Amino acid sequence: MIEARFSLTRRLLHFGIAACLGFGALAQASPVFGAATNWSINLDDLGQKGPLRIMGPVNEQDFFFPLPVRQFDPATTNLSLGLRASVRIATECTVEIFANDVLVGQRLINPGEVIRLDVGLAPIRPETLEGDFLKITVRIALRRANATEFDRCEDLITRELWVEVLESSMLTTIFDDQNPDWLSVSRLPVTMQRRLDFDLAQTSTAVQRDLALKALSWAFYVTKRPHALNEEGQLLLSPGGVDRFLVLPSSSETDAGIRVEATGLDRTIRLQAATLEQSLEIWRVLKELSQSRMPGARYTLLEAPGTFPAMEHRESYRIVQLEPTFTEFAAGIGDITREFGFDTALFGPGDMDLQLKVEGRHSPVIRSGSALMFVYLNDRLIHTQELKVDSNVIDLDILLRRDQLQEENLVRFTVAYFPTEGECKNPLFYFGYQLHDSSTISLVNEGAAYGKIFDLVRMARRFFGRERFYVAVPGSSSLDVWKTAAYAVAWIQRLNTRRLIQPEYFEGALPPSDSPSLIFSMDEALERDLTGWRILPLVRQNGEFKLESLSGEQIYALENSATVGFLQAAYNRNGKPVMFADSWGSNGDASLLRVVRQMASLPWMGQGDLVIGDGLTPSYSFETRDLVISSGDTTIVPRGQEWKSARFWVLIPVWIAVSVLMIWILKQAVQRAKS
Amino acid sequence: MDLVDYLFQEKILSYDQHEQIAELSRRWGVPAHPILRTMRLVPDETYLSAYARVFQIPRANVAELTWNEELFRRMEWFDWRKMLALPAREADGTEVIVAPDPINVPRAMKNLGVPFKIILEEEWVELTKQFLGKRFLDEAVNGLARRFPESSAKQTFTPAQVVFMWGLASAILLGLVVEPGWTVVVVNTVINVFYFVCVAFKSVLTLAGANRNTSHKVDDDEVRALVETDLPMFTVLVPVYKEPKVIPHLVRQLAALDYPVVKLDVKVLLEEDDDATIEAFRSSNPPPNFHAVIIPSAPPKTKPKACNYGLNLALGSYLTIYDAEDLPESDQIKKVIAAFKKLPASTAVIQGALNYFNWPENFLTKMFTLEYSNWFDYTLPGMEALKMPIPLGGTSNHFRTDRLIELGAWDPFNVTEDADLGVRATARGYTVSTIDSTTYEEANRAYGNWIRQRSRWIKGYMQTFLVNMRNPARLIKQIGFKAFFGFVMFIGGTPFIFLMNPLLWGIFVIWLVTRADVFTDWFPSWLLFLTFFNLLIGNFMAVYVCILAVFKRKTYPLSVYALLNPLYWMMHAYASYKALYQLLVKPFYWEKTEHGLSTMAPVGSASRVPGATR
Repeated sequence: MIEARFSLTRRLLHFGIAACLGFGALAQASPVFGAATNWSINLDDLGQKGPLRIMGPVNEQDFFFPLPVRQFDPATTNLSLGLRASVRIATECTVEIFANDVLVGQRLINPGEVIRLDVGLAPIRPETLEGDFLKITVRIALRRANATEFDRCEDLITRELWVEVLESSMLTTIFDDQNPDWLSVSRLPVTMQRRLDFDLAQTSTAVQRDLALKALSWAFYVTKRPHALNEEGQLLLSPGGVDRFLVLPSSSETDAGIRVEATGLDRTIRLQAATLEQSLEIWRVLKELSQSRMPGARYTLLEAPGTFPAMEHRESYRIVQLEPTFTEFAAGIGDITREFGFDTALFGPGDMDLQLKVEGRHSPVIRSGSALMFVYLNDRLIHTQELKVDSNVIDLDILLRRDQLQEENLVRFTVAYFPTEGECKNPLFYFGYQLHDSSTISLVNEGAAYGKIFDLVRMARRFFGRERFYVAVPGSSSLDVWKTAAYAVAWIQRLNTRRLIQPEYFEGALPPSDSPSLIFSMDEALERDLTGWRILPLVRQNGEFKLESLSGEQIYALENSATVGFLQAAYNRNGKPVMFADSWGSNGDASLLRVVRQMASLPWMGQGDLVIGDGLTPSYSFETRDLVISSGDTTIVPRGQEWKSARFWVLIPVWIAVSVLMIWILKQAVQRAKS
Repeated sequence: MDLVDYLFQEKILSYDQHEQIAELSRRWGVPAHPILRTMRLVPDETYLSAYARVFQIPRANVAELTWNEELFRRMEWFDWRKMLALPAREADGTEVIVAPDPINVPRAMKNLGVPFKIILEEEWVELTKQFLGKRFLDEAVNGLARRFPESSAKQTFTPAQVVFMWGLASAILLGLVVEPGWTVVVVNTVINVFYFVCVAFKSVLTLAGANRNTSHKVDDDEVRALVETDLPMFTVLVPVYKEPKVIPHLVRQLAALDYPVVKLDVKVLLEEDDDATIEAFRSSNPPPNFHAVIIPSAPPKTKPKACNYGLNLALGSYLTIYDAEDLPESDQIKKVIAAFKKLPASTAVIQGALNYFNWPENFLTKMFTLEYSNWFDYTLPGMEALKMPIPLGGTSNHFRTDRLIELGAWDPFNVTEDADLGVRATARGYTVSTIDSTTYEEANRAYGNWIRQRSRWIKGYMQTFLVNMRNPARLIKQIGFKAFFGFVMFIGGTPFIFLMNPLLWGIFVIWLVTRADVFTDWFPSWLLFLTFFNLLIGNFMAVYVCILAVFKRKTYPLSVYALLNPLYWMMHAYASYKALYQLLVKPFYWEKTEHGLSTMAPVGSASRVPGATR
């Protein structure tokens, strides 16, 4: 009975917290419904209870103000920061204020001083704003007062040096209150904090109001499940770790609920809804959340088998070796960082998981917990590991998920190392680590032992010579169609680097069915001849393309207005793969040319069974990829002349050297013969 | 009265000694007194005075003799040498011919009408050096270049060859500017096609050599059937340089050869500046038919130069070369004589098989033995069967001396003078044959030593190739297209493969690791097939023929090591690049191979060598 009452009390408490969160958000949004043009928001409004203390190794603090970018005018925006310094700092420490990484103000602060720093944000260029938020960074160089000697290490780790950003710090701006964008401004003041042995920066997450409402409804749902809350009533969302939400249909009413599985900082939150509708609704909310571009945590949708279609596996064996400078030794105190970049294009089309294997070594760790390694991918923490006292080996195996990857990626390794006070004076305690260039990034599954052998077999298959490959274009095709066809062939060749093709062109007729083909810009005449071909479900009806994913499932209609190039796989009567390239809409031909050109110029590798869309095409029975089509034509510059010239200037010295060598050889030979 | 009978009557020789000499004289078919001299049974002065008394030929006063050029010109040097005679003048200007055995000089010499005087053999050697040393040295160094300049490696590259190489390099560079893709493909194709043909050719040679009948077998009955009285004089040249440690072994092994001592003329060729080896030889108490020949110091300091010098003093109508550490089968010389009798008169040289007595010693000796087993038991017999020019091995090549002189002897500027001589013999219409009698050598057990030796060999192959390719059309005319093809594949192909291996392996490894797309353009599918064939089947064949090599000698434990050949080839690759470098900067430099390093120093005859079963 007591248990039941206690449980009821907790439920009520959770309900109350969630309701407060939701109503708080709505209440916060309410002023904007008025006619006021001046608007301000302070840290307290953002959910920061109490001052934000800057100390320790970071020495700077980011926080984010939610703002509608399109309505935000830096010239009319002011930031008023309240700052309080500890009495231990040295006189005249410099405080710097950055807005979106642009320095907007600085001044000196003295021990024990409380100051208010008012800065305008005019230096920010409006075009640099994105994401409906404004990032404010407070940075301060903390030094100890009366220090007999400079000791950066001690400065970093002492807890007596700090500066606080007061919760009354405020952003003031002017908005057009009639603009609907402004109405959407709100926030979800969920403060996520990771507690470690030392303080790390807090991160706030804000979302748009319409999403916030849905998120709140989800949060409400979540808060009814006590496992989703920690002891402090905070949502179990981790900005540093990876939260995976897994939505599962429930087989019965009783097993509905949330289960949280934690592995280190990573968590999988299984949402098992009572009904399918409930499950889909949760999924939809999460999906929207995941698509919102916000700082801090982003959430990944992990589709559960049976609920959502499984991803298709693709082979490839490209390994990217980390750059040689990577092996340099990084050493110091505090945050010791190394980073490297890589292009996703190196691995082929961009929607595949990659495997980051890092090998290295580190200097001895003095005491447990004093050294933590953080791995960031594109500024998102994807892995955390405590470096052990009894080992000096760094051996990481990290999955870089496709949704985390961008075209250009930056991987940053940071080891936060904090000796105890007094240890800093001994250089022996400086920490160092080295990441070996044997570290690799590769496609998932590449590590299989048979990989290279299998690849040899694949290479061996090339021995059988070029494969005939037919290309069919409509009768009386324009030059652009021929150009497009040529680009498409180039693209196919790039996709099939392990197998050479020998294109043969047909105009106005279907090619023989004994070889793979590319049928270009289908016309009615060609279509009629396709009877009996097993074509993947692309149907053209009434001027629309309809994509039927799988038998019995939904048909997606692609609108006429879409101007998209398209290639689709099928099989002819002999079972040979066939690709169709076509387009529709008002600028279909131009769009197709653009797409195919771009495909032809990308250094992709992989299998040949790909279908290219514009990112809007549902990915069901075949794969699509996010191909960013530039607004203008991609100009392919004929670089032959440049290269020829460059080669000439490179090889001329070689030729001179060879000639000198030959003269020397002859001279030597003649001299020896005479002597 | 015979000299020996006289000494017996004078009681200088005992009855037993007299009978022993008489018996040997009958058995070997030579007069008794040379045997007496060879056996050193009486003091020198006693011998000389007895000779003077019996044959009425006075003793010459060696200290007062001077050179008689006019008389010398009346006969060829080799006629003088054959009888160990020298034309001289005495203190009063009287012409005289001095010789250790004047009564046996040919009639032509007697017809010169010049009186004879007797000297000791040692004095003959010293006088020869004194009178003709400079001439011998000049002949040893420049003889070939003077007589057959087109066959001498004294000039490493001819202007035409340099212009050809320059033109080729320029064409490739021009191609890289204009059409880099095609150029790389063409170069790649040429390299890989040549590589493929080389590997295939060597495989064919091995298969041809696997036919046991291709090697000229001389069985024991044929050796026993030889009548010792008919055996010819046989010279053994043993070039030794800075190898004092192996001198006792040398003396022991060559003394054990089954050949009449009085007909075996062993010339140990010692360099003038090599005091240690000279002293070691003198203190080894060599048999009386072993003579030290001191080679005057002069560049190039090479083995062929020493051999050329020694050839001037060679007494035999047949001649062979042994290295200091060699362990020939004891009946090898008799087998060679029997083989020469069986083979056509055009046979100028017979190559004995070489193998290693210390093969179990370490990885290197095992690999070396595998290689040699394949080379001498399969490849060379295969070349003989297919009538290809045979590159001689460095030792145990047995010549008809007159043919050797006719060919111009060894090229002192070629560091594989033996391989060069084999090709030259073929080009002059002579045949080179092989025999299944083995000389066991000491395989290199030290890696640095191995690299030095191998780089010299490969450099020598390059020299031989360059020398013979100065006029390819003439070579084709001389030896025919098939033999020319064999020459190019074998002499040219061997260094080529070693040089190309690291390049091709490097490309393969880089591709394997990086999958660099650039290689896709370099390897059209048909070429890729060829390169894969070279890589997989070619290497397999090379390993396979090495495995085959163990069967003839039943050294089966070595077969496993054939699988390690790729490691061995890497060492070859290193040696080949060193050889290429040396070809350019110091082509005549003789990378000395140090002998006597083996911890399995051979004792006794070749039959004791591990696995010496054929």
